[in-house]
Amino acid sequence: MRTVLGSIVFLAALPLSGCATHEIPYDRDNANIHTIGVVTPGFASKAQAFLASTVGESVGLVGGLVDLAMEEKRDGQLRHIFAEANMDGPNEFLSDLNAALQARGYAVVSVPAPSDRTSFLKSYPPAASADAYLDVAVIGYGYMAAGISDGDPYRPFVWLRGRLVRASDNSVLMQEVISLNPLNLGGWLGGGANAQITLSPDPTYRYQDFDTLMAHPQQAPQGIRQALKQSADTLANVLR
Amino acid sequence: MSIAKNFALVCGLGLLISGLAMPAHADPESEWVPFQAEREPDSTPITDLSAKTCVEALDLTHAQQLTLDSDGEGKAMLVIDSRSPCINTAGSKALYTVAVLPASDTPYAITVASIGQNDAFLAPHALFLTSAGTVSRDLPGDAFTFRKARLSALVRSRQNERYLVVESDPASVGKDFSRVAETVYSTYLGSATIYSGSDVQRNYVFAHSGAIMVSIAPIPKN
Repeated sequence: MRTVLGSIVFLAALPLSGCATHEIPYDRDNANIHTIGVVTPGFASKAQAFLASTVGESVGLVGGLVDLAMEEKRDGQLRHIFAEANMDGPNEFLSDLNAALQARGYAVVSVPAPSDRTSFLKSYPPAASADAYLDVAVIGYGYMAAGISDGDPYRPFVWLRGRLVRASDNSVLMQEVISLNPLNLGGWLGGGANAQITLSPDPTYRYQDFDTLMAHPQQAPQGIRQALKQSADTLANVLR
Repeated sequence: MSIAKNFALVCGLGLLISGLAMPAHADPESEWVPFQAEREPDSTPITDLSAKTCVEALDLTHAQQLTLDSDGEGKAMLVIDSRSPCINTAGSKALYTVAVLPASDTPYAITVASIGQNDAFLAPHALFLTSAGTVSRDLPGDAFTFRKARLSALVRSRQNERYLVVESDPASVGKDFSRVAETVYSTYLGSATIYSGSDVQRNYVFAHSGAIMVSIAPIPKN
C-alpha cells in the first residue's frame, strides 16, 4: 500500500508543487553572494519508470489499478539496474551541483536538511559562513515515455525547483523551475509569467520500449547521471 | 474501510488528478509557431553575411521604445532580418536591433527570447547599454536557455541601463541542434477520456535572423 501511495503522490504532486513557483531572475553583480550554503536537496521519490499515458488509465479504475501494478514492477526493475551500477541519484546530483557552483567561482558549504520532501524548506539551519542558501527540490527523475506506441521511446527526465535565499534577510534572490524532458512543455509543473527552463534530453539515451531500456543496464544509468549533471549545471549557470 | 476500497479510492483520486493535470489537446507545436510581429521576418533564415556591408559602431537612433502598462508589464516583438543593420564584431559580422528600456524606480524582470521560425532560431547575443552607449552587461549565447519553446535569457533590470541590443552570434550561426517534445493528449469520447502520447524530435539551425520577444514584468514577491 505504501508503494502504491508513493506513485499516486508522485503524480498528484506534479501540478500542485509547481503552481507557487515563480521565476525570479538573479543579478550576481548586485547580490554580493560569495559563499553558498547548499542545502541537502529534496528528492520526492526514488527513480521512476514513468509511462505518461496508458491504455489502462483510459478505461477506468480497473485499468488504472493494473497500470499501477505494472508501474511498480517497472520502477523496481529500473532501480535494480541503477543499484547494480552503483548509482546514487541524490548524492551524485549534490556532488554535481557543488562542482558546478565552484566552477562558477562560488565557495560552497554543506547545509544538512531532510531529503524526503517535494517543496522548499520553510527556514534554514544556521550556516555561519554562508551568504545564501541554495534550496533544491527534485520533483521527479528517471525514465519517461509519453505513451505506449513505437514512436514513444523512454528518455531520461529530471524535474526540479530551485531557489537562492539570502541568509541575512531571507529574501529570494533567484527562483527557477527546470525540466529536463518536460511533459507538455512543463505545463504540469506550473511556473510563472517568465516560464520555466526546459532542457532537451540527450538523444543518445533513447530506448524504444521498457524491455530495450532494461537490455542496457550499463548505459541506462549513465543517461540519468548525465541528466542529473546537466540539470545541476543549468541551475548553477543561472547563478553565473 | 477495506484495503481494497481504500486502494480503489486512492487510485481513483490519482487518476482524477492526473487527468485534470493533462490539458486536452495540448499541442507543443503551437509553441513553435512564431509570434506575429509588426513586420514578418524573412522566410529564409540568414546564415551568411559575407555580402553585407557592416559598420563599426552601433546605431542607437532608431531604437524601438519599450513601454510598461498600468500593471508594470510590457511586450514587444523585435525582428532581425535582411533589412536590419549590420555591425562588424571581432572578426565577424552580426545583424542587430535595439530597444529602449522603460525607466522605472524599481527593478523589473526582462525576458529576451529568440523564437523559432522555419526550423531556425536567431543565435542570440544581448548587450545592455547605458544612456551614454557604454556596455553595462554582455549576455553571450550560453546565457540563453530554453524556457518552454523559446531560447531565452531572464535578467533583472538595472537603473543605469537604457538600451537593449540584440545581435546575432556569428560563432553559433550555422550550427544545428535538436529538441524533443513529449506530450500527452486527452480526447473525450462521451463519458470516457482517452489518453495518448507523442514524442517529437525536431532539428533546428542557428541563424543571423529571426524574431525576438522582449517581455517585461514585475519581479514576483514570492
